[in-house]
Amino acid sequence: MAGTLSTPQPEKILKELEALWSEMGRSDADRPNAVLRACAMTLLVGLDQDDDTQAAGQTVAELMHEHPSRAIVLKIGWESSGVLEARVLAQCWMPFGRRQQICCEQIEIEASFDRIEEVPRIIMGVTVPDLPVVLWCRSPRLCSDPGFQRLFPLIDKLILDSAVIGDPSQGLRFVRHLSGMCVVADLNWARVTPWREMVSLLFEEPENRGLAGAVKQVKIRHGGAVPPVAAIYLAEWLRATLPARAEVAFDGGDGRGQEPVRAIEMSGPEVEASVVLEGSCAVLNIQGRRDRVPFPALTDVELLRVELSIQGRDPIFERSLR
Amino acid sequence: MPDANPFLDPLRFGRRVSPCSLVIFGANGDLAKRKLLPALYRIHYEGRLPPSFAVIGNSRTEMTDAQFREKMRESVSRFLEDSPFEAGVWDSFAQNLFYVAGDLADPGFYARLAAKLEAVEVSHRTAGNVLFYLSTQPSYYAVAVHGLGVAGLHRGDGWRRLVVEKPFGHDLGSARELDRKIHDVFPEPEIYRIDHYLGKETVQNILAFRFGNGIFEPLWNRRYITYVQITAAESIGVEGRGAYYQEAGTLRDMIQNHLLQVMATVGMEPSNVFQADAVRDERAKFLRSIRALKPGEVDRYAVAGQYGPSRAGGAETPGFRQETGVDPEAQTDTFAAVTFFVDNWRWAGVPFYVRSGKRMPKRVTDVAIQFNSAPHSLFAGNGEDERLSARPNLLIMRIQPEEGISLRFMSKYPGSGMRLRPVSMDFSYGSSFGTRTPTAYETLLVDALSGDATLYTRQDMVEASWRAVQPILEVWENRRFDFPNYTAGTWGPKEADDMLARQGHFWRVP
Repeated sequence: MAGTLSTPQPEKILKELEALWSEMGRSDADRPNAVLRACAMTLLVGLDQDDDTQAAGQTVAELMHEHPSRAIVLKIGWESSGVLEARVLAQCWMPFGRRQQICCEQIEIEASFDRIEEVPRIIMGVTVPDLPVVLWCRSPRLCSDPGFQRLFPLIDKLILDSAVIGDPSQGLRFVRHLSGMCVVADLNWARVTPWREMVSLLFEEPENRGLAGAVKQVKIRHGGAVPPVAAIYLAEWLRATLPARAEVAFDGGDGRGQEPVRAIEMSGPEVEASVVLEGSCAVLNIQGRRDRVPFPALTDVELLRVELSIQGRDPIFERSLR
Repeated sequence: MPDANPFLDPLRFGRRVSPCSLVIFGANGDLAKRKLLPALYRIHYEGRLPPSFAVIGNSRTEMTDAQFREKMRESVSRFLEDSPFEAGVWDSFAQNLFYVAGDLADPGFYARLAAKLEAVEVSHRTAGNVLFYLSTQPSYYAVAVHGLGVAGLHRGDGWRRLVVEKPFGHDLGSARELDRKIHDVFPEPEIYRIDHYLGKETVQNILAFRFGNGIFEPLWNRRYITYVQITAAESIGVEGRGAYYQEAGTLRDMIQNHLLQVMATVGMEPSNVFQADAVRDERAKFLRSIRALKPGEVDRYAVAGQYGPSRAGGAETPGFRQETGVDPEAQTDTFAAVTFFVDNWRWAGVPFYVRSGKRMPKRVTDVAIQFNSAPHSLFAGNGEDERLSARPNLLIMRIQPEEGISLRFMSKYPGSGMRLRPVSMDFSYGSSFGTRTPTAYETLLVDALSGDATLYTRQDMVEASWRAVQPILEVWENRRFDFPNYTAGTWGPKEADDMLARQGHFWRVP
């Protein structure tokens, strides 16, 4: 259900939201309590003009099930056309087996570059009071804009995806730079969680715990010509976590393939261990013993779900980012 | 003690189970098929079981490993809750399932079990860790534990733990006797007495609500609370469990264990840390503070009921005495309501009304906290009944089926004048956290396999709860009730209403 386009004044937007809820309440008058309003945070989504608004909306709708929020979807056009518009709508779904619809509210703001300065003021006026504000910024350009960065003091967490920046070293610099301004999460870090879990699993059994200290060399096999940010994160994490100093190297093979990480090999005088991706499973090998375990393929929605469920800083990520 | 795994990340990694074997006695029974195996499959589905894990099922029925796997496959696909059944995931899970047939009274069975445990320790690298799960008839508990002890299976290279399902005895004496037999073999820290109510997310959320928020705890005492009501109602009857239920009754089957544990969760003091013994110490202290009724007080503070036949929607519903396997003269309580008092500073004088019954109007479990009314009715005198403008605040913690919390408070009715109406502020777990919540058995199995006993009961808690109901059991056992005394589809016998009316209170309708 959508409201009409409005002049984007915070008070007017909030009034339209109220009108939207009242209308939904009236249309459900024959089914008392049929609409349940839920909100646990403000989820601010920053999009570039090239981003697919519909796909982002779909992602937001999927996230709502686990993280009901007031979503504010901001789309920036980089030409100077004087556009600044807003509209309100509700995202509703019927949980399986329930009689009540659950609805969350969404505000869509479209602005051209010449009016970007006005956007923070509008957003500051429409966030939900007293609940966390999380910014998922899909557009690096938007996040780099000093005018937009005026929002950073307001947000509790900024979620980025360094994978959208083609050059990994540039992507890493970008994340490091922003992490000096607010609490930052990178979806690329969440992507390596299954790899980190597999490494943890290798050394989980008591008889293998001591072997971690014997690892002297690590090789991370990755797709592409240069190590992607995910592989670099993994390397930094291993350097920081392995009990003894170890040399960590990358191997891009023939430079083909898209997987950020394909395998991790660890060796030392008394240890041989590896994690190798084979289809939907990982093959764990330590001291010649092999195990196949499910390796989850995480979608962007699942990565975002994880990030939204973590409040505050992630010290292990911050240590790996340094 | 081996070094800690340096690669763990508790913020992002799910809690994993350490390598071990799980031996399920009674693996062909209802509990294993409906609850345990579906829970284990789901834990595996979430990747929380290690590759070094094995399940060894046991019952008297002869079966091969393959037949056991096929039987469990049928059960899991049928009884799995809120989860997809995926053949590929099942195949990887099933390769860890094994079976040893045998009678628990036969010493030869334990030799075969020992051989199987040794074999899986090598093939599945289970590190000698074993969890024994008693999912049999209670009469076999002591037999199985004795058999394990004689065979030396209670000790080994790794840890050994024992999970015991309720009932823990049928009265205080038998609970102590069972405990003595178990303790002959297993020390207390290795015994996990399961009360699946404590594994329910919403029961755990009572702790989060009380001790994770600063605003409620100052009000959580005799100065602000008038009474507490705990209701656990089922709309169904005994559903084929007539023979068992006839011996147990509602007071034993629900109140002595599940509802007293819920009551302890509502009334216990905060522990200084959220660790097994600290939390259980506080629960135990609360349960020990429940006043045991004197025989002469039982009729005033406890009510037994039994449903009779009824007719609804053109269909006949049998009374309890007409159920299969039930004695036509049975004196069993299918409804019980008790007023408990807690003799400590926090709760002195606050009644805890606890009721449970079968064939009630609906299936519901909740806890209602009634706060004191406003001390002065400022808005009376507008022509309305004073009771309408001064209704006390009510906090409802819904445990099932729709988990959540509601707070009833007074609000001004729109329009001129100051007429007040009660309104409800609702919080629903389902809508605030759309994610699937684990079943109680998933939670409790992972806890036991990880060595976390926080949500398991301890013998001193078991004995304290038996002590709280023992006087009632003794009076009722010597009483001939005029049953049936309530109609199916109602909220129990009139005597239960009278019990509260004598205190100037009434049961709320959940």
